Amino acid sequence: MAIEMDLFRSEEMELVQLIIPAEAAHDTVQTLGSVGLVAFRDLNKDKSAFQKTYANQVKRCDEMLRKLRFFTEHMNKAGITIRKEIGDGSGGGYGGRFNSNEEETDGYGRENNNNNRVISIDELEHTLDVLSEEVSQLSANTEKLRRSHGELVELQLVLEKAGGFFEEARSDANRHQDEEDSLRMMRRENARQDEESLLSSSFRSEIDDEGLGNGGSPSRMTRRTGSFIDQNHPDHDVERNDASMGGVAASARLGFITGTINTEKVHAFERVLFRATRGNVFLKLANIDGHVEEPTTGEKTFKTVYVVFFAGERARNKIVKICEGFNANRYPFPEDFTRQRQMNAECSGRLVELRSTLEASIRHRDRTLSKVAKDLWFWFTLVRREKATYHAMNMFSIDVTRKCLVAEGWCPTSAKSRVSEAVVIANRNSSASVGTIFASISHKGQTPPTYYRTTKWTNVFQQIVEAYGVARYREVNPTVMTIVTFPFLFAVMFGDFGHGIIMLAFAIYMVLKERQISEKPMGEIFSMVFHARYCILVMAAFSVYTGVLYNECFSVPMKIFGASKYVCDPIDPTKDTTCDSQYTTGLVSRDDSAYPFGVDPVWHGTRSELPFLNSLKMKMSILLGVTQMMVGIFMSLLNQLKDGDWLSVYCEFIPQVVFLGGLFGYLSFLIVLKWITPGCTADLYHVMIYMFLAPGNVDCMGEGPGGSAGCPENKMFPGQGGLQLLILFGCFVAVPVMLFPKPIILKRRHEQKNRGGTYVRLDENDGDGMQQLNSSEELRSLGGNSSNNNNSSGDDHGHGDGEFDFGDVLVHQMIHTIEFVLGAISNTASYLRLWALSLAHAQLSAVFWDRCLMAAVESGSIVAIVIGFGVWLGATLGVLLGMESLSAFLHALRLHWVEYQNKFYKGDGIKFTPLEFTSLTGMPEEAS
Amino acid sequence: MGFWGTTFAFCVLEGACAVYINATGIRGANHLKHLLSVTAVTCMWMMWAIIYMAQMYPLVQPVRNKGE
Repeated sequence: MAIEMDLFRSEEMELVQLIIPAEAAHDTVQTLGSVGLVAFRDLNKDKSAFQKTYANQVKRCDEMLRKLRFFTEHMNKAGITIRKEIGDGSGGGYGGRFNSNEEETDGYGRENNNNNRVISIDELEHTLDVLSEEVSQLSANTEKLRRSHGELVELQLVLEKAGGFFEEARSDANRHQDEEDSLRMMRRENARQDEESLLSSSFRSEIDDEGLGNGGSPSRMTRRTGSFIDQNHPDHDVERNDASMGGVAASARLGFITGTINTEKVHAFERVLFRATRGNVFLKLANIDGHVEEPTTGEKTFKTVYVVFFAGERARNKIVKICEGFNANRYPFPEDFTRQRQMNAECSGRLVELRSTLEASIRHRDRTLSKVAKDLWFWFTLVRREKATYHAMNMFSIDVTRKCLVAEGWCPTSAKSRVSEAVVIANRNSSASVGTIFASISHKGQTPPTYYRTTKWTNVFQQIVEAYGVARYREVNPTVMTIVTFPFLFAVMFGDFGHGIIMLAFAIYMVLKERQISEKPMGEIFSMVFHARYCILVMAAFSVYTGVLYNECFSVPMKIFGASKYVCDPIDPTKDTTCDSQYTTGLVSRDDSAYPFGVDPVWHGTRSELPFLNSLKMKMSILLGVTQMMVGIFMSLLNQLKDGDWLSVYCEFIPQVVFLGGLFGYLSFLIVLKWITPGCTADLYHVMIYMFLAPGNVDCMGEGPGGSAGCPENKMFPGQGGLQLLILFGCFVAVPVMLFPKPIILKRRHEQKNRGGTYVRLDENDGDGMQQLNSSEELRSLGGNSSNNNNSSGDDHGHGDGEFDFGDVLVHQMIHTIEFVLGAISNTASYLRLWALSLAHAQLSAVFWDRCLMAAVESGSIVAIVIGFGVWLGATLGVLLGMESLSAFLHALRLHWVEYQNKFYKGDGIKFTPLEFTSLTGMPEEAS
Repeated sequence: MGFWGTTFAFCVLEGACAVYINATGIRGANHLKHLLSVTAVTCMWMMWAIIYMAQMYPLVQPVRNKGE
């Protein structure tokens, strides 16, 4: 092909071989990584990951990455942000190196200032070791301090709250003292116990009051747990009586536990305690205002101070276990009031001390972390690139003397000089004693990878195509046409001026602000939309255009191109006044010409709007579809011509054109002909069906009265019958032509080749013998792979070295033929989705306009208008611009992937994945 | 304008696109852009032409609803 168009075919690739002296290998790979245009082939596929030469280095890099992720974790916890940009002045002396890299590598840039590297990977490893040790130690210390701080805080709270219980109880008891002197006499036995128990006498007296239920005003706290106590007081009493009988031993059996518990768990805790001890406990609770830090985890939670009173050692053990089960912290609480005071004071003292220590420790840790944060981005870059380098070097085959490495890789022909230059420079910089040998070798029998140079405009379309399949090497790239036809078909379905304008504004905003937006973090869905911004831009622009053609702006017709062509029927007697005929027979066209641009605005809201628009859009879908499929078939011609595959031209392309053109090309022709013929009322369905049922008899001759023509209107042009016969004949011939000759001719060719094979074999090899000598060893090892490749793709008969399976080829051809014949019909029908979606869009937007906005405006009330406008806006943005656009997008996608691409696109290529460093910058996604 | 007049306008549009591309692009490397502009203008023309032709001799006539 004389004219090489970007993107039309993938870049030509060459297999290059590098023989690199061992000492220059690392630098060479790094340089090539910066250039980013060589994809190394794995020459050590048979070796396991551990057997590879540089397995150790890769492991070291992994270890370093782990440490870096460890820092990231700690920084995230400490709330330190990691600086994304490096080398902007304060990033350190080495910042310049990678930064300059990124600028240069944008367009085949190369990097040749390896010597400027200030920090080497070994130094970095050491630094990381030291730092990670330091950070983990600091973190552990901080953690320990924080924990004891949390515990102290809780202890103090417990002292306050629980002390409060006791205090309150004491004062309460004193108040009751006088009133109940007489009662006291009556329960002398109980009073005896009081002296022996652990509880302070005042508090005990309160329990007694409650227990006896003598009507004395109960304290606030007991009321809270009142039901608890009341219900069980007989038991409680028995226990206490037991205790009293126990004498001195009882003193050890009545005790209490204090501590804190998560407020959420209080109810469960209460219930479990009650059940476990059969109600022989007395629980007091006090909420703590505000958050308290949980000492073990450091989380801020709501907590409650509890005091559990119980009797007996067994109960104690049970309660301790329950406390543990509920993660309730227990704290010592001295009974003695003075000791409580003392402890509280001690606590506050230590707390102040601890707080300052903790602050200092956190400050120190944060200082260390933020020092790391400054370099972290750069370190990540360095280590990831280093790892990629060793990973690539693991693919090289190493020579027995370990003096040099042999690498093979794919590289675009256009970039070969740039790569070889980079190799020379890397070799010079590494001051190796021997030069690096760079040569291209034959890639016979191997499929080169597919590589397209895309721009930011074309990239998204290329991705849309590649989501279906990566193009085979050097086959026609569907992306080229897709760039226009994809947004266009979208717009056919989405056509509305107003919606298009909103979308266009959104897309322009994204394109203009792409720098600012891409720097901010965004959600998954928005990031998808943002990546497709150029596609959306074109889609919106076409939508505006098709909106003008459909004459719809939020479903309201616009009169940009003048008033309607339709006027009142001149024969109507009321034409100057009311024009009654417009409601019965309808308006008539003023003259023979149509509305100059788009759909006449008069149609909107008429009774005949839908019949007219449906017929128009349906026919339009077929015309557009047949055109696009034809383009697809001609794309396959370009592929066949490039391969010099004339057999496929005759046995695939030509019959395909005849078949599709004969059936649906002819239908399209009839559609247009009917439009431009005045007064033509031909029934196209009838014409198409009777083309098969009664060949040659276009006007149903003999079916009318007296043997005349039954459907004379179907005869649209002279010679129609003959042409239809010819088309029918063509279609019937085309099918077997597609099916049989190709496999038979292929078989014959193969046999001929094999017959003469023994004589020509030597000559064949001679052609590229020189090149093959270089890599004869390589080719032998690859022999197995390449023959597999050939067999896997059925019609890849060009090499013809492998076995020829006639049955296989025939079946393949049969499938291909059936797929095409059936596809011609079903795919054409599939294009009717253009009509369906466009109809749905127009109707939905009309409904929203009439029912929400217009209904509200007619009601006349301001409130209704505001609400109606809100609903309409929400529906327009959410349903039409959101969901409808998505569905139109998906349908356009399907039309391209299935209906268009199956005409020519193989899509079984291998994507070119070069070693390149620009994508290995900064933190990997999962770490951030 | 009529059918051919507007068709001519589309040709002029394509011509303008071609001139613009040649003026702004790199010489000899504009094939893709030219192809894209031709495709886009063709698509636009085609859809306009379809809608225009469909309205030349319509068999259905607009009948208004009485309520309006």
